[in-house]
Amino acid sequence: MTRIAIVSLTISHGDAVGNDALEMGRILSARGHTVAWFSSHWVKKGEHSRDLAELDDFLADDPEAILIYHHLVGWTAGLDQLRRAVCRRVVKYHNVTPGRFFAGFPGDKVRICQLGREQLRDLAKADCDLYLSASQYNQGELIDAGAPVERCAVVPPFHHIDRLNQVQADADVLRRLDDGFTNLLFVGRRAPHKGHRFLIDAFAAYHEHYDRNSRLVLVGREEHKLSCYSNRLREQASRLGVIDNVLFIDGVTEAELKAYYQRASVFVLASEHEGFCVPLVEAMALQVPIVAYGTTAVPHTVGDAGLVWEEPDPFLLAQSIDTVVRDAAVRRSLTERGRRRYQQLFTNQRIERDFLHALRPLAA
Amino acid sequence: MSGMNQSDLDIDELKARIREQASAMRERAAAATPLPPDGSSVWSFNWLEVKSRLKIAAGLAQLGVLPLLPRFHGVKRQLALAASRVVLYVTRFLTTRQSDFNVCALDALRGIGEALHAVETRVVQQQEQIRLLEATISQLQLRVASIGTPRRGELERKAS
Repeated sequence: MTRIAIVSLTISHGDAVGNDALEMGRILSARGHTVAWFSSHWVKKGEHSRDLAELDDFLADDPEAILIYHHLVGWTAGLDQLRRAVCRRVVKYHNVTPGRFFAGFPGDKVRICQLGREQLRDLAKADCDLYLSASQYNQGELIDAGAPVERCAVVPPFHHIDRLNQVQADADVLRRLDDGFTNLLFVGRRAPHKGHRFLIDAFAAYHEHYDRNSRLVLVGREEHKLSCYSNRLREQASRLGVIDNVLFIDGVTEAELKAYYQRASVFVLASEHEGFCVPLVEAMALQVPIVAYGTTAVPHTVGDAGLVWEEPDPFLLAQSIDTVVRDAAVRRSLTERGRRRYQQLFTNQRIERDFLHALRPLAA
Repeated sequence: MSGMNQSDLDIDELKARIREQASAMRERAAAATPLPPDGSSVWSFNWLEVKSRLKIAAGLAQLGVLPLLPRFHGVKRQLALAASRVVLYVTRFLTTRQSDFNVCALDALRGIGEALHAVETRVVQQQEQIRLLEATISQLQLRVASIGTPRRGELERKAS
């Protein structure tokens, strides 16, 4: 059986890339391959978690081994390892957020993201055996950067929806949100490219002109060194008179997350940049209708299962929310479409099939 | 739209309708005076938000944990981790007490939060009761007024 190294800058439960890398390894391991995960900084190590420095020993110059490299930001140490490896090499591209979104904020995000974009070209031209992308949008970027079309395949990221389906929704959250208010939900880390400012504008329009008994729930961890971004959002909400109706929820458990989805009337998204957007799939699976600003990979992920707009106009989003909330037939139709789209394209079983099919020339 | 099933939903038609309605609402909103802030939300306690922040604080409360040091690799990382261990060991007399303090303070904050939330819930319930009682009094006053003066005089005589 084949020795397979899964390499990523970060691998942790609870984020999209971490879930993808861990599940990928679990599937390959179940098929009898020897799998280990490599990263330069672990949040929590498991039995087969190793430091990047141990990668050479694991691969042992075996030309039949496989290295699966997850690309999400600039990471010189990881790219160097990929270039040096004499084994078969696979790139999984999750997209890199353009650095411009982080301009003016503290930290070195701009540099890391710009480096990630530059390294995309290096990866595309590194003559790897296979290029996997999380979405059509990402694949387009890879091909534009020079990756050979015939070695490219789209495989959506594995996710934790099976666990969400099994877990009992948190009773406390369910109780507290069951107060007759219309709950608008967004799930995603608190970072500038996630378009929170458009969401707050749209919510203010909705709250003032459509439904005073409504709240916007923003679930997602605050990005490292971006507390000033959160402060700006709070100021914006305050200025628009909706601060008491916007909830900023950091770091939730799966039980709590499920409860937020269960109490949501609509899932709203106004991100300016998404490589795939797992929360959209969570909303589809948990039958929450979607209203979204359709940039980058969002239209590919949502398809016809939501109201997707080409502009983040607050009144357009607010009117869409109102239509979905008030018109039961529209709501039912969108949730049914979402459920069907999830079952056809995005279940872990379906993704496993796509992944193994793409990997077949390299590993039986 | 009632009775529509999913195959009946024409997304393009629906979006065109929404676009028109949004445009009309935008015009109405521009013409209208902005509403004053909602009085009922003057005092509101976002317990879910507070709880999520307390959870993060609980994760950070314990000092004496080795840093992740993501910028260092290889030998440099090993050296940096060893140095961190030494620093943590030397400052243990401070960090242990600080951790204890953090945990106690967080427990107290959690208790205060729960109590505040309970008070807020009671106040909201009492406000609702007051509103219902006021509505009942208004209805009774209307009924009293609707009874004619002679009839009322008769009733008053009987009562006395």
